[in-house]
Amino acid sequence: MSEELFRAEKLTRRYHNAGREVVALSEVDLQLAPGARLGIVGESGSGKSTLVRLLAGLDRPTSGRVWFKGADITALPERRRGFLRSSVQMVFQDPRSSLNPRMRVGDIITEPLRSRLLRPQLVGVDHRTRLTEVLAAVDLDADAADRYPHEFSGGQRQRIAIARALAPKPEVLIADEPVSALDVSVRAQVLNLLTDLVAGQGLSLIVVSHDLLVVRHLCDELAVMRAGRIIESGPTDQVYLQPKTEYTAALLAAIPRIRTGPGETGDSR
Amino acid sequence: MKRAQLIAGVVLVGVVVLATVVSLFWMPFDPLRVVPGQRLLPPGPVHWLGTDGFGIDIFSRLLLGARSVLLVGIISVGLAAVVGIPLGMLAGQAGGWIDDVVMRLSDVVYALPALLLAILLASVFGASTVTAMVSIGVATIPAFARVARAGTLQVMAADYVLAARASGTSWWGVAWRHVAPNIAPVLGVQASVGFAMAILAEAALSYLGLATPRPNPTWGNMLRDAQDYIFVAPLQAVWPGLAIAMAVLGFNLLGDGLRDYLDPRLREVP
Amino acid sequence: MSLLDVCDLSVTFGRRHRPALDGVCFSLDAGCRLGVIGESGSGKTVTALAVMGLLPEYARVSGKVELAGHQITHLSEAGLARLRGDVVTMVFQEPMTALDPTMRVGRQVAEVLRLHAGTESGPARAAVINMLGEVGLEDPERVADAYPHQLSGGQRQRVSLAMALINAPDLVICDEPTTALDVTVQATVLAKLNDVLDASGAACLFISHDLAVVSQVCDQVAVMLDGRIVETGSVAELFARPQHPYTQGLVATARLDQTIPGQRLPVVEDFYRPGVSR
Repeated sequence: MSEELFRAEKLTRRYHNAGREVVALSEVDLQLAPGARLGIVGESGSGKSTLVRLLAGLDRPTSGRVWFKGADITALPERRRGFLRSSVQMVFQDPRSSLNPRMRVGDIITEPLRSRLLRPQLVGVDHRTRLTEVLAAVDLDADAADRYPHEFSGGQRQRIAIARALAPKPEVLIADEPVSALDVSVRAQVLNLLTDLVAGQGLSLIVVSHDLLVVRHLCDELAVMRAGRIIESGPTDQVYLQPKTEYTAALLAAIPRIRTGPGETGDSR
Repeated sequence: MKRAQLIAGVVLVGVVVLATVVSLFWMPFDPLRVVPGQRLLPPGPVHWLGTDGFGIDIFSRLLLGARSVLLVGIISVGLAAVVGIPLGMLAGQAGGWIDDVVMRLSDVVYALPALLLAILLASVFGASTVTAMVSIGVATIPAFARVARAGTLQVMAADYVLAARASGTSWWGVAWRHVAPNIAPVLGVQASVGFAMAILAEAALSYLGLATPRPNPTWGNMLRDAQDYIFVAPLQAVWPGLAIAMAVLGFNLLGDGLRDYLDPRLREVP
Repeated sequence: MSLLDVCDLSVTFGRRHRPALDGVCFSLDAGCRLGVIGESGSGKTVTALAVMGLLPEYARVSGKVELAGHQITHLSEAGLARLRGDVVTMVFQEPMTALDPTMRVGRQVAEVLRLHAGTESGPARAAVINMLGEVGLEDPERVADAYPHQLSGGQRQRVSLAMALINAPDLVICDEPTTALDVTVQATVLAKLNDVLDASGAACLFISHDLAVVSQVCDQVAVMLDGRIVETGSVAELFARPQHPYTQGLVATARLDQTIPGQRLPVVEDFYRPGVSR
């Protein structure tokens, strides 16, 4: 039982939007071992964000069940989710939206530590020490704590978001499109940081992205989603080099590659 | 240009505040004592703005009237804000049936004219400054509730709220640390504009005799008294009218100026 | 003579800010495609706005922007309006905000046609449907009658493309046109952009932070850094022999497909540190 980190069975999530029913996720099964690095790829609307939000306990499934470390979290009331909230942290796509513009960086990062729900899990953690630790972990100066998010560049803001996720010493980091709002030139920095953190702190990682290359770089397992279902999964190299479905092959072909000559049509066309 | 608007607003509002403060310490004449021998004097070196039909110095009455403008504005806007903002935030944050109930209630209040409420209260308790403040305040609650709800919905859609929930931040924590600071600017603007509306409403109510009773002067009842002498001493009606117009303009300019000043999109350069 | 000639263009917002553009020079011949690449804040969008004459009033502009014989910086608003949509058009990053949500897309495209070509509404509709088909939209009749929110992101961006091309402009400016799209949709939109540019022979100024995306559309690239163009050249040449250290860094980070998973990726700072070399 305790050997698995996450288990999901027949997870289904339907929304009602203006009278119409939208199936965001349909009977998804998933198993994840501790220390795994799972990448979930698919286009927008494929249900990948819905899936990780269900895993993180930020949304409740219409049907199906989710276990975290053997405990059924599907119907657990919020006040008993403290262990989940401290163990599973998220990093979102756009740091302009994921950082409160009216809070100082130090307050943003220590917010998880101040939560009443997490206090039992975080006995003996000194806020100021932890703040210094995580700022150093993401390569930001200590004086960043007194400034506001808008004083930082996009890449630095994403570091702040990562620092916040690290603050309560989580076991799992879920990154939802962590680099797709960033310039290509900044992308590499954030990917390096995530790689280092996962290796250095022994984190499990779930990365959601529409870009197979990003996922290939960070993860050793891969799940391809389409229309609310997982249509292909396996070790990253296998899926990347020998895609079984046409859809995965199309995702791979769509990655923009540098076209160096006017005569050459480029790999993607 | 935008800045000039804000400054003009601050100056006009400042004049009202200054008049109130001055009236607490000094007034050229007793604004309540009737002096039969001095009726309807034109403006001059002694009575700067002349005297009214009771022989009372108009400038002194204007100063005293400024007090009730501020008092009614602060109390009624305060009442509306204290009730409306938490309701709006509750509706926006909780959603579902709570949202429906709060917003339908607010629609009902919105549909009820302030005037009707003022008449009702005045007939039960007798017209006074308090009935005017309460009726204006209650009528303004929906405006605050709506603005607060709209702002809250916007904040709730931001990822930082999701991130806060993901790290176990409580409902109150989200309201206090995330929603409140982010909707404060729009609420400030709403308060300023609401203040202007309250001044107008108070003037209208006291003109109709539904607010502060005589002999205490308000700009609204001064206007009404002046009406009796409109052909003999037309200037008498001009002074309180001008005061009302300037004060309303001032708070509106302040509100617009604040909106532009606080809008971060207008500050960031592309 | 070139279609677009930008010479020593400087733009400053506000008194205390450093210039957004600092002596930018480039030219673009008719039918050619130039990619402008740089990170956010490098001045690439400001360049596009300057060419469109869309800079806000408080911007202080010096230098020359000459488009098809017109001095953009000296034109009146009315003169600019005649050029925009006719000689030069623009495709924006976010197709949802670039389209009017209350208007059927067919009418929006027709509006552009009517405004500049003065076409009657009957033939206009036929031309609009034709154009929507040309940018690769299936069932253009139905798309023309839809509102923007009823379309997907890729469809909306194609509609923007149709709007930009329907008057057969001499120059199309694309500001990060595919950044908000999924990779698969991006690939099809880029392919279609290439097709319609080929067919119309219009020149293109393509702005992006992604060297790979730029290389799909353009042959020439200009690299912007802190309001200046630090390097120009053909994609092949720039990629094979980047001269400026910043360009070297950009090229190195652009090749995520050639790295070994899990290994440290090269970053721009390995090559270029602000303030060290200029």
